[in-house]
Amino acid sequence: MGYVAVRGGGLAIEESLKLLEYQRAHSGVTLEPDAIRRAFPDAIDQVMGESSLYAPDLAALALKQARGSIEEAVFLLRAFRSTLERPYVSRAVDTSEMRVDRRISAAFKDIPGGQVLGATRDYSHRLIDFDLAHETPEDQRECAAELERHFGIEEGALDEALLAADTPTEGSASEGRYPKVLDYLRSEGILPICDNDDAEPVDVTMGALEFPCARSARLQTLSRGMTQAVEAFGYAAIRGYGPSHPTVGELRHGMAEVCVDVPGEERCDAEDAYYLGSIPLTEVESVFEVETEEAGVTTLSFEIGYGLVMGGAETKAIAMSVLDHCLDLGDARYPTQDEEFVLYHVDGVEAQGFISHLKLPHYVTFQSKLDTVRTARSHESDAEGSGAAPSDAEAADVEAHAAESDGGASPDEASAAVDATVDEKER
Amino acid sequence: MRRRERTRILVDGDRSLARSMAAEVERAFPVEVLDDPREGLVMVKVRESAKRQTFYLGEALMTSCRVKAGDAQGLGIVMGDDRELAFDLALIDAAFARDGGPIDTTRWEERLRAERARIDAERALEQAVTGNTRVDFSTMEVEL
Repeated sequence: MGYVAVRGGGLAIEESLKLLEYQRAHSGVTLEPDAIRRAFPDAIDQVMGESSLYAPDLAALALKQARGSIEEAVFLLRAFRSTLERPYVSRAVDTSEMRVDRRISAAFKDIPGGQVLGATRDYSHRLIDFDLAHETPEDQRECAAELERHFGIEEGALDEALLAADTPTEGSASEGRYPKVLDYLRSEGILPICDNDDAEPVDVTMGALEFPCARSARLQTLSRGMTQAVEAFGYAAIRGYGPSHPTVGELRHGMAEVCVDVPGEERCDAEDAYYLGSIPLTEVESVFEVETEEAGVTTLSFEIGYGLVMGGAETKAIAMSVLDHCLDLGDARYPTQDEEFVLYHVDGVEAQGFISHLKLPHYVTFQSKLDTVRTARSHESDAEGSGAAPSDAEAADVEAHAAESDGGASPDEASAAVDATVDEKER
Repeated sequence: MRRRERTRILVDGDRSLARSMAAEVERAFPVEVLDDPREGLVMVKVRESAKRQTFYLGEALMTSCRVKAGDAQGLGIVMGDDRELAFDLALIDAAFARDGGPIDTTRWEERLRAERARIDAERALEQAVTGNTRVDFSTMEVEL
């Protein structure tokens, strides 16, 4: 079979892009990115988390351009980040210093500082609120004002708080800093106390994944993974394709400070670092019961799976903690414990890119497959012809298949699509 | 007041504070921009709490700027796309880098402490609201 280079379709692509833009503009509604950022914070969190880039305003703009498609917005943001320099690496963020606004434990009822629900849908009725269909800006303002009165944060409350600022009420908890729940088990010796491991982490954005991979590469890949993929694999692990049911020792959400050392200084004191701002994080420590056998004696102990994600993606953070533990176990019988299976398939841009490529022209490879099938069928027919003649129904079936295959793409369509591939690569 | 605390107040606090302090530096010294304010990325490294290892969580958009005020250099870095604030922070950093001179930075500390008190009060208020969601468990009586 020979190859023939074809081109064409440029005009069709231009018209297609215009049609796409027309559909966006024709909707008759335009939203300011700021409005998108404020109205859909969870979607913004998902875009930033999967893009692995904290930039709320850009995420909102990407979501607008992508017409609400998370995967497209993630693609846009990942592409944008690749155009920027990265001159700084932050000091290691210590999550025990987070300013926490939600913190719960499924392991202990009574924890130092208490179980703080924060703002959560966990205990809400999942019923559509039809009143929102007709909500006006005025309705929204009234609702906010009423709740501000309820919480005591109406106008003037800050002045009162300023007066009271010199007399904090609950020690560190009043600033939103809480001890780690699992430190209790560490203090009892049930969980090991680890020293800081300052080994330089692997950066998966700077090179291809290599297996077996460092835990730092694993955690980074899971954290930037496609939300639903991480959740699906974590779910599968709990359902029987991995270790037993974990217990969420602690789930906390809050703001963590990002600081960088003075450039050029090897040992910079933490208090001399530059503060850049704070980012919202959700962290999970899950506890797994494990059996270990030594000298014929089986003992029970606990191990921790760790999850940390940008924003408030709690389910993803829990699933990440499950997968972190799964990949630590590394039992090849379970797909959720197979690093290559999990880490190669959770990245949204990789998955979307690979699956989307199936839409692009495969005319040559498919023609080759078609030739093979036709040849095989022809041989079968010959063999059957030398014996009994095929029935009318069998002959009609062969012809129908042949007609269907031939009717796939006209030469013109083929050239248009080939050109589309070329243009896509150039872009 | 050390740099981390100072920059925390200037970044999280009211923008007008950084602007007014930077304006003082502009009036007191000839200012040369060494690196124009520009956007870039900072990689966020975190220490996970299970095994105390570090890993890269992801990047954050930031804006940085480097200036020279008089004979002192200053660096301004802030998260997000904010060239004006990065420039102001660089000027203030340069002022603190100088020993003595026409700007007495100790005089600024009072303004910084006042702004810190305002930020703390705002956060105390947020924590008070969050505190309403603290669970108060009670044990149910069991009938025997």
